[in-house]
Amino acid sequence: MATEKKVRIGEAARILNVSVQTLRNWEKSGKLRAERSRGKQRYYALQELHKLALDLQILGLAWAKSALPPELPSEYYCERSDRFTSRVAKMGAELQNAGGISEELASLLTLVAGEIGDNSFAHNGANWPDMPGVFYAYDIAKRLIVLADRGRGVKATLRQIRPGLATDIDALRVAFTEIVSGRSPEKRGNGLKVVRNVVESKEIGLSFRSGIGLVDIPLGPGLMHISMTDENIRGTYAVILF
Amino acid sequence: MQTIQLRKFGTVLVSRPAGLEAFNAIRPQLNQDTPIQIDFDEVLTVTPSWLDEFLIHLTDYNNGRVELLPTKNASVLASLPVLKEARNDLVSATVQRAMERMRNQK
Repeated sequence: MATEKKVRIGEAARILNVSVQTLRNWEKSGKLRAERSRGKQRYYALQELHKLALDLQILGLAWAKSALPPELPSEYYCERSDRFTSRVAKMGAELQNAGGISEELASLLTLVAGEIGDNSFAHNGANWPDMPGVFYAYDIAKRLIVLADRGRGVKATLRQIRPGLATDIDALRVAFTEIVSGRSPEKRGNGLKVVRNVVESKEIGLSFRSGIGLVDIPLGPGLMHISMTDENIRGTYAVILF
Repeated sequence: MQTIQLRKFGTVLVSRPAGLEAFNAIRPQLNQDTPIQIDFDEVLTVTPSWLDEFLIHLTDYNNGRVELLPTKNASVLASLPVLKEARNDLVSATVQRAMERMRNQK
């Protein structure tokens, strides 16, 4: 439509809370089309950007990594742990009633989301660098759950008990694989080990980022892979697929 | 034998603080000298954090005389092996007994 409002790449990046380079990558991958002016400048349809801004993964990523916390629709923001817990319970009930999702899968997805989100609260306590709480959104029809926090990240929190941890990758490996044994009540969670076992053995996929580390577990049963990304996330960002 | 129906705390049990809160809520009704069994019926999900915290306090209170009733709850079955391995205490012993009982029932 000739009258459709369009914006340039810088403005589009600001609206979506992503970098200009990310928008160029999205154009290459076909995720977001850009039009070109005669001078070859990219233009983006505002309507498309607003549609994309409701993409849960993009919203969650923006919450996790933008310098200033973006405004979130209230239904996606759990400032405190009790709100998160009650929303996880609501999701569990919705999964049970959704049809096509077994009781076993509903139980395990609720465990995975509950444990990851609860970790954000347990590990940041009262030490959130800026905004407390988690971004938590799900779309059962799209078989997607997204969680993100603006906390201190896995490496910083694990260093309190493992000062020798050097990299984000080491930290993620410890968090997802090493069981902390002890006779005394060890309150450091072993929840992420359970999460890994569940996701590796069931039809659940997980992408979990913190710092420049990325844990990736494929949607079908398959093993965890840890790698490095080129984009830093101070807190954590998790996408669960099923 | 006294039985704790976890259902009374909700159908989705998440987080250590909530596990502790549940223990504190049930404690006045418990007799320290009587063994306790835990029933997972009608619960959708128990996370490992909640279960660990609840069991730490319960086994401490009852000197380890806590048994988990056999269950098909997927979240419980996923959590038990890690809890057993992660601890070397009364919780681990309770979990180990439950896993053996369920294995023998198969």
